[in-house]
Amino acid sequence: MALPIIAFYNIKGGVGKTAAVVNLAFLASREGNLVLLCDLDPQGAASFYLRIRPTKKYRARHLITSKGKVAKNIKGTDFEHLDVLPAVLSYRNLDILLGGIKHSKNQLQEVLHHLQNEYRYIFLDCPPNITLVSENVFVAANLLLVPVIPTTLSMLSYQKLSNFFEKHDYETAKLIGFFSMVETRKKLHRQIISQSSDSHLRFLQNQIPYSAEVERMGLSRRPVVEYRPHAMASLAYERLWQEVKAIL
Amino acid sequence: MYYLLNRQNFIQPILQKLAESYQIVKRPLLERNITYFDTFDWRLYKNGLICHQQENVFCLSSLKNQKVISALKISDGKSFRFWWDFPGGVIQERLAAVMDIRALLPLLTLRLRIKPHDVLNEDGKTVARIILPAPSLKGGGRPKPRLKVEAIRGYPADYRRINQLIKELGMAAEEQPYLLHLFAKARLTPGGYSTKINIQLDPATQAREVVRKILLQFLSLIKLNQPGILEDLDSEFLHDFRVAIRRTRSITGQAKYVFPSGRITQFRRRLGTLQKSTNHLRDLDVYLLRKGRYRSILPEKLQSGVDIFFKSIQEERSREQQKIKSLLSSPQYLKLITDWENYLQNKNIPSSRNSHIEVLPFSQKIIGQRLQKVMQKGNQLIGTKPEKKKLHELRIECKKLRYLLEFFSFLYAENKISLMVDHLKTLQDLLGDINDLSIQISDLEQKFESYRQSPEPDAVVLAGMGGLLTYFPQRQQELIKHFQETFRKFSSPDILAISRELFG
Repeated sequence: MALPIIAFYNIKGGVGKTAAVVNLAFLASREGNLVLLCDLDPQGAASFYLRIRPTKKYRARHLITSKGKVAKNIKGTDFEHLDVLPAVLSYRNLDILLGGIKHSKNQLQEVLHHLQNEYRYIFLDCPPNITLVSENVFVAANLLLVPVIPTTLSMLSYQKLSNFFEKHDYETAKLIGFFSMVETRKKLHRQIISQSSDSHLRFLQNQIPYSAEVERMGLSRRPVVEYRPHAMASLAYERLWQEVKAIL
Repeated sequence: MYYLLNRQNFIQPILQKLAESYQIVKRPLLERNITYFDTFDWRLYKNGLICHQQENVFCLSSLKNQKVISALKISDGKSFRFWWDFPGGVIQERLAAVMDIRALLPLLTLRLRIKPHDVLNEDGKTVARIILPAPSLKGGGRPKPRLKVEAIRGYPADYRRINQLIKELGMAAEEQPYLLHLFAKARLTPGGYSTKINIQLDPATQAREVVRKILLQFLSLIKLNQPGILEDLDSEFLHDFRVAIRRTRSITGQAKYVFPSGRITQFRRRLGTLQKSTNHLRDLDVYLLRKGRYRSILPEKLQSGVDIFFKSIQEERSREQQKIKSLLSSPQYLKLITDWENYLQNKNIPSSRNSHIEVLPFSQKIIGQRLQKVMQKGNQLIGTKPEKKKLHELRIECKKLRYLLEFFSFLYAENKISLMVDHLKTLQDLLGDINDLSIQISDLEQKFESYRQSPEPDAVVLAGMGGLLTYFPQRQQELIKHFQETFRKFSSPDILAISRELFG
């Protein structure tokens, strides 16, 4: 199989997406694999968690037009084998830039293709909303992981994404959800999770619990699995990664 | 970038200097073992390569700039000896090109206690690492520590700055590969093994002195290769061992009356017996080395027959190897080597007819005579359909001549002698291939017969052997057709003119 590209995506924000991608990318790299995390979200939360600032001269258009520049802007994290392509604020204009070129949905795939000899896994942290950027992700990724908080609205947005895939002929097999920020003491969470097995939407077995530790990643600026490996959330990320690997 | 430090505590001023501009964070101590490998005759080193294994990663790098060419994760317990043991890929490809049939052997193991320090910027982000291992060699020896400034991708400015700060302390970046320093500490001479004669003496030196020096070099090759045969590391140890004995016998036979002939005849006989007892193992080695070729000759359906046949050869080889192992550990063998060494070291051996004549005229005479014999025997075969037996005799003469040219090459102009050797080599290769096929045919015929009469002969094996027995004579006839043309090139007026000039 070609280089696995694993994207984390949800139309809705605030679902624990960035925390999941940072922790899973770290776990993949800790196994000795060279891993690249591409932070495509202009908010740059993944870059922030890993203490990475973008190079001053790096612009969104480089991602589309100048493949060589992309490699130059990759930065090593504090952790061996884990690199980051940091987000820049100008990524908010990516859609406009992409709209102006031919084959606008294949650009990201092409950029990542240039990096396939260097890395064993590529993780994508994607901005919310369905835009041309997201559609580039749908084309490029082998696996699209959708973090879903067990709430009605969150389920609805996953449903919408699934419909979008069908309507626009994207491979629905790439799409798979996992429950995130789960609070088992909440009846609604339990209910939605138990009903999910009847739904046609696919979910991973393992769930990520809601955790104050994960929220503190913003302060420690390190993956929780690295500094609190035995925390509930860390163990859950570990199980999730094993399950994802098995699918790949 | 690397810096060779004279002592471990030289790290302190470096860290202090860096702490003026960065935050330095000490990381936990790591312990690592690195084993370096090469073939016995330094084929990797000679081709500018290094390979090493650290934990479960096998790595091939360039000796010059130490850049990694390719790395390979090894599953537990897996070890690699020959290039074909590696999975297909860059490492296998590069090693195949230089190692040929030689085994990869451990040269030295470096034990490292590594103290890493992270260099952090004002964001608390690691921008480089300072790695200082305390090295020691397994088996003794303390190499100098080597400090490494490890770059982190995306922070080139900090990397440059850190190196600049270190250089301001008067440190210079490492110039020579660290491995050379390790070799010196481990008392290894890289590239030190060669089967070529290395002699530089005055042409007026007495013949005995030169012959003695040549013979001592062969003796040293015999001794150097003996352990590799005992350990059965690869088939080249036995090959080089045998070539050294053959050359010893060749020069003692051709350089007559340099030493008193009585003792020399005795030694030649004893060495001849030793050589003969290793013949069978060498034949089996040659068989096994040809397995791939044999398979490729046959159609796919018959190839499994070759596999079964080779399995029995492999078993026979294991038994033969044990015999040779006990032979080379026997008191008789050790006595022969000691006696021969003592004889060659003895300065009081009585003179003989040719002991004191100058080596140049002496070599001219014996090379000239040998060349004449080669020409005579070769010319007799021109214009006829040469008999295999006659070709074999010519092959032996050519080999004797080749050895003489090599032994005494230091006395002659290099370009002229190598032109002769090149032409002779082409002729020898052809004669060698023809002779090889004769041996293979007669050997295979014997094996075919005995296999046919075994209790349950496999039809595919018989068919495979039959296929080879049809192919070999055809191939041999094709080669024989090339003889006339090849010999004419060797005996061309140009070559004859050179030989007259050099040997009179």
